[in-house]
Amino acid sequence: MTSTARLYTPAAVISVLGLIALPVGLVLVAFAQELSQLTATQLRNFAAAPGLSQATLYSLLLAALAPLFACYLALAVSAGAVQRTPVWLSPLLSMPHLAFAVGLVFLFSPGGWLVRAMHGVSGAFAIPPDWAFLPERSLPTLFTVLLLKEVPFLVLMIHSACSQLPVERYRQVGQSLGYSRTTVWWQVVVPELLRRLTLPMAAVIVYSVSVVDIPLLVGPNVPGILAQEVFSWQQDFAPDAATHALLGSVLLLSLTLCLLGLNRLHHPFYRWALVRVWRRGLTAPGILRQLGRGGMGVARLWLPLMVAMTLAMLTALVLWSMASGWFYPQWLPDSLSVALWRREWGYIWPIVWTTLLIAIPCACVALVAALVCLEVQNKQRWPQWLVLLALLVPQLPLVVGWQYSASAYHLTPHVGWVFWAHCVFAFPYAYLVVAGDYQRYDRHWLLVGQSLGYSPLKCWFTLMLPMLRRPVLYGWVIAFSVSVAQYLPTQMLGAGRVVTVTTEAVSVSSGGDRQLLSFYALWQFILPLIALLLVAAYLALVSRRRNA
Amino acid sequence: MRKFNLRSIFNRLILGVMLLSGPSFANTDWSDVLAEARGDTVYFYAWGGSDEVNRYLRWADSELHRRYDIRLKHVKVADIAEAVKRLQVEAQAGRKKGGAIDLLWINGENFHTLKREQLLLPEVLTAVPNSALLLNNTLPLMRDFGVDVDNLEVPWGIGQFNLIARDKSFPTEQLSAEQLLAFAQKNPGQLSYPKPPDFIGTTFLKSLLVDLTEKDPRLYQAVSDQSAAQLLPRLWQYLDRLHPLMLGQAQSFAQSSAQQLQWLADGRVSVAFSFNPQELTAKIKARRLPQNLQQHVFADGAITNSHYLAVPRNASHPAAAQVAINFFISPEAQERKADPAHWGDPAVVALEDAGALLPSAEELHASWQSAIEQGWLERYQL
Repeated sequence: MTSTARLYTPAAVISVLGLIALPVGLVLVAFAQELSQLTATQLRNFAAAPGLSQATLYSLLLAALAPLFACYLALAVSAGAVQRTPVWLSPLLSMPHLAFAVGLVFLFSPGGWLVRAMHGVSGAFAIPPDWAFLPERSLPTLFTVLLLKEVPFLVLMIHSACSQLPVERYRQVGQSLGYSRTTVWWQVVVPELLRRLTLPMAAVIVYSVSVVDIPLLVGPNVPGILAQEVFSWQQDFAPDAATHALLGSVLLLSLTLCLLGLNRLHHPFYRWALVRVWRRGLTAPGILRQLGRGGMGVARLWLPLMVAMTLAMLTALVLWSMASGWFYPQWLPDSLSVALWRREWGYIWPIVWTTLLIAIPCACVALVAALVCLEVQNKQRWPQWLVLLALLVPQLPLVVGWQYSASAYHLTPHVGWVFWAHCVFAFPYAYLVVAGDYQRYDRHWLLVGQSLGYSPLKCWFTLMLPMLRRPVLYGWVIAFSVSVAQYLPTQMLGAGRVVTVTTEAVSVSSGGDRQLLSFYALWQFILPLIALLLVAAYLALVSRRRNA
Repeated sequence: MRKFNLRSIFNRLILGVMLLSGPSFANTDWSDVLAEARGDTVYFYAWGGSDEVNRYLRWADSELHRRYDIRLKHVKVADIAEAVKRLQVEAQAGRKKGGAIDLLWINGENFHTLKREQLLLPEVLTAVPNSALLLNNTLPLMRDFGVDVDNLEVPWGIGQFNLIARDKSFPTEQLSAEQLLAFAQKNPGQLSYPKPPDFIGTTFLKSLLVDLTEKDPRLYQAVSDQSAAQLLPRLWQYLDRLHPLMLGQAQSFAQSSAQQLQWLADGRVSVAFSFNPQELTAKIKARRLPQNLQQHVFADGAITNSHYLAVPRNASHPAAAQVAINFFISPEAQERKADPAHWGDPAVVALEDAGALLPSAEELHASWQSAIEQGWLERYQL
């Protein structure tokens, strides 16, 4: 065993240094330097910045409620079926937020497809209704995008956590005592699950606090959410803007810390509430029970709804990228043409190439680092939050700090920086996806292998890795899609010169040209989807060969 | 060490002949610039939100490559302030050369900042031979939002603020603030404007201010506390009446004029703005906007300004950037730019069949820009 330890530990130390300590350390140094030069006037000016309190409130609401709703929706969705492997989950999971937001807005905005269809059928809405569904820009729209988009990730995490729990036994015991499956789920399984969901939830919360590209596209803008305001201060060159960006980053960090604190209280609170209800022998009032049942019904519909919606989005994106003359209230374009595809074809390849050139090695590095860390954690108990640190710090201040260090140390914007930044963010996701199965793996197999005379390393490669093929490959795909979808680090560290499908989609979206935006959003969607399909096909092939 | 080879001597000869018609002072220097520029890549930081502009720049890249062996890399930014910020950060970090940006598309506040902080390469305007062709006598090209260009940037095109409205929204081509309000009262929820400090959103507010104050002369002088206190409240009073009648009761604004145009196509609003007098024609031709639209201008005229090209002081490829600029203001490149089939941005050099410009109104003094934006943010972004 010592020989393996000798191999794993340095690798793990390298991973931790390069992907956790260095990125966070750089930022701390940069911020400390800047903060030490602050004056009281600057603080006062910042506090008086127009819209600051509203922006903070927006961020707080969004990051507290969207993950919470997503969590309970995911729990409700998973209530029925934790044994079945969520195959359908993966396409939803790999769909980038940006493509999702573009699609959702086109489906449900007042000038969108649904309203156009209603106009086509009934003749109503000669002018798009101001109130309908999701306005093009608003907090509810942003909220819906984040809520719906986080559910698949949380469902995946729930499945992974469930595989560590004797859910079936709980259920049998519960049912033998006369409790329904639903009761057992919410009163026995969920408290356990929530404890294990603390970290994934933290990741979702931090994402919601710090996401910038989605609010730029669909969020409110007088003011925007805090991260958006910090980003625009960061881009602004007025003398006050730099300190505003710095202090805004600090505020964003404090906000995140508060929310993470609340997140830690989530499962004790749930348990406390449950016990209280239990002790008092309270049963939920009839209306609440009705509501709950309704909610569960909705949850059961969630999967078909999401699949239908994803398909509709995909169709809309394809149509828009080919549309020529598509105005309200037509529900189909005047004509379709492949002119845009033909024209952009030659230009998208270098971009796709850059995207892949970063994302493929990045996913590999992230996966290897995750596996190495997991292996070491098997022997030494490193706290999990340490490994996930890069995920628990909002992305914006992190990247701002890096950019500052890069210019302070005279580093040229370079694709290498972008690559490293992608690894930093892809690594924790790879870790989260693989961790459940890895930690649950029955390590007796390894002992058996070693007792047959194989080296620990060989056992690891020939026994453990093939048995964990599925989570490992999914970990890779998730890391890959995380890399593809990175906007801030790519744009800010690459000085705009490193162009990926995501940066292209965001810069095109600033022009509101829907044809072009759909084209790039589609590519942003397609790349992870292809990776995913390849992995799924490979897994299917392997299992068929094994069964044959 | 400069290499002397037959090819470069030949190039100089050819160019010497080509440039005989141009100003003679630049000839020899210019051939040096051309020789130095060969094989370089120009990183051109420019707004990337317009399909037409992006395509035009691709064309320019292929032409520059063919003629001068220069590659033009369009670095698309969502807002050019990003690039200004980057130059500042580089300057703070003491980076005197080898900067990321070779060429910039700017005007207004961005230019003022770079000029004030001395981050632009001096004498760019005099260095490019084609600057002799610029229509300095007929167009106000040498003052960028009230600030002297000082040879730090080269005019590239003209912007004229105009409105694009659905047919029959307004009776005449000329429009007043009162008519706009009356339209909003009759059709609530049909108006929006790009959120200031968006450039076009602010220009809309300027046009309103000019209209509401009956072209007060103080608008064309540096803003003082007194003039701001007397003139701006008229704008705020007007907006207080307009906002409740706007799209979503003005809880959110269009992020840009491009988004406003998309909303026009989606039937969400009845009026959109543009800084390009040919945009309506170009967009209808490209089938990005429906046919039933009309162009309008405010009764005092379309606020007119120019946009420019500039080279940062720490550019890595200043020579190639200048060659690119010289090409951009050549009659051929300007003609293609002015063609609505390609971009439709008015030319800054004389063309044979140049489209007529809209009746123009003078830009306000630059200091009003931030006075309006600050006031707006403090009032409406709470």
